[in-house]
Amino acid sequence: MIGAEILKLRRQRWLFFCGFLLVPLFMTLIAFMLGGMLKPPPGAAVNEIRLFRSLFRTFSVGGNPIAQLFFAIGAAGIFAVEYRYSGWRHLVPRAARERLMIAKFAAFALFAALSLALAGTGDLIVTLILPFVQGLKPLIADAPSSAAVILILAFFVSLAELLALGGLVALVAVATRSGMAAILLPFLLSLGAAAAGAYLGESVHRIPWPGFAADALRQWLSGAGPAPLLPALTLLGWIALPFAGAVALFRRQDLVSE
Amino acid sequence: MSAIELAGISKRFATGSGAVQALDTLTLSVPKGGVFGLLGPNGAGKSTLLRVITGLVHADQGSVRLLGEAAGPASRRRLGALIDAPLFYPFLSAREVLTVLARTSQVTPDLPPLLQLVGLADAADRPVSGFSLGMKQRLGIAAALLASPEIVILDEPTNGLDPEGMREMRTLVRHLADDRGVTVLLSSHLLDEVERICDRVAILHHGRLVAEGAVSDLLQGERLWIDAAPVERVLARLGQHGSPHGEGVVAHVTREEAPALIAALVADGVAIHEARWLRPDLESVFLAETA
Repeated sequence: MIGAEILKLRRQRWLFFCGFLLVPLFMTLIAFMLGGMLKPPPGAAVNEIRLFRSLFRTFSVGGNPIAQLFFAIGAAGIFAVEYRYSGWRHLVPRAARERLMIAKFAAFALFAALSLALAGTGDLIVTLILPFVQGLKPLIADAPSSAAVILILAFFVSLAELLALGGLVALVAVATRSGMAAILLPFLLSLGAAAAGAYLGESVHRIPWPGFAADALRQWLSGAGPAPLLPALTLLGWIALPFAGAVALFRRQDLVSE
Repeated sequence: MSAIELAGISKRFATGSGAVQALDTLTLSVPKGGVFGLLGPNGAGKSTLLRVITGLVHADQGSVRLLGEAAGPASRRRLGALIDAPLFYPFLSAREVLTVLARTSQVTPDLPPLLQLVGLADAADRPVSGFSLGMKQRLGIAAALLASPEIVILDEPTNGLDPEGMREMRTLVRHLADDRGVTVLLSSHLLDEVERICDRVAILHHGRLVAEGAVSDLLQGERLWIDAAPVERVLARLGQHGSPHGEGVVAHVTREEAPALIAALVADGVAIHEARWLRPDLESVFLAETA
């Protein structure tokens, strides 16, 4: 089933590009351009590179509202495609509805993970090759002993944030049967949350919103944040509840015309 | 055992003044094997019924059984369906559409013979967006047959086909029923098509079953049409067994009674210009039941 979803998304080339390739490509390009233009921090050697910090920053892309807009486009390409092209009439008679939705969610999770991995790879390449381009011998200046673990956790925090977005897109797509609504509503919520974050400052972390929970977890990974249990549960809840709502709604939904 | 058993199916869309009772305590049994036709005017509930059987729409009341099992994801794996207009992902080729549907159904069909069967072998790798309605209809049939189903449900399968395509479709439907033992349930508004390929038919009206039976049974009851003058004298002779019909009179008599009737009319001084047997067609049955 997941293979079918992957094939459908790959053939929607524009949605696939916008949803899962544009963000990592753009981030890599920006990293390359900024890396070439910016000077090293005061006191740092000219050939020092901060690989850990750079990757950690890249893996926080899941919380960026603009990046979320593009990931929502990719998610809508998966969850709303059957409503747009009347696909349910071919799929529902021969497969359990919940399995169809789970296959879509798994496909989204896979593409989101690949997209994050691509962003990380792009950042890694740019960070490592830029000194060579500038004629320097690179020196990795920040490599804490637990760097790999922290980066893996940062990757999964970002992925969890995207999965929460995917669940929300799934719910809106099923409820409205519209790909456009499935993109815009989560994006507007994400934008609103970002505005609230800017306005409320640190106290915003008390609001159980996936972006704030992910930020709290990232702070904890940096050694500065609160205990991770509550934000982790918040994030997991935001993955589980909207998606469970989408499945429950879809199970009862009459597909008179998709 | 019936292929499809529907017991007391009701479905109402919306509520309040805009509510529509699409199906009203409908009970119907589709026997295993053969071709079963579903007839009814627009809005009779045919498409809703097919969507209830295929699980696209949930009935408010009643039960559906497929091949003796309660309808559900497991039993529905034994049916293939082409519901409503044949719409597909336009960004995929015909082969890719079938691949996607096969993967979703978790079956591994042999696609080339299937594409050959529906006449799409040469267009298998072309994007569906460039397909004519008839080609999409053929692809829909291929999709319905993908997993070698025991029951095939076809909603207006000849829509968009040219006369040659319609003939091929009729042949294919009969081939499925006669040679492969598949039960075919099809809806159509083309009455002569249903008359030609169906073994049994059901007529729906306002969500209710108004007639059901073998096509041969529904078409029983020959009548003798007589073009004669004066008509009044013919009607007087026939009494309650006759009625005016166009230029002449229809006599409800058997073939055995006909010679004596003709002789009696001639003896009465009636001039008989023409007499022939009228065989009821599905259209007249349909109109009578849905009037």
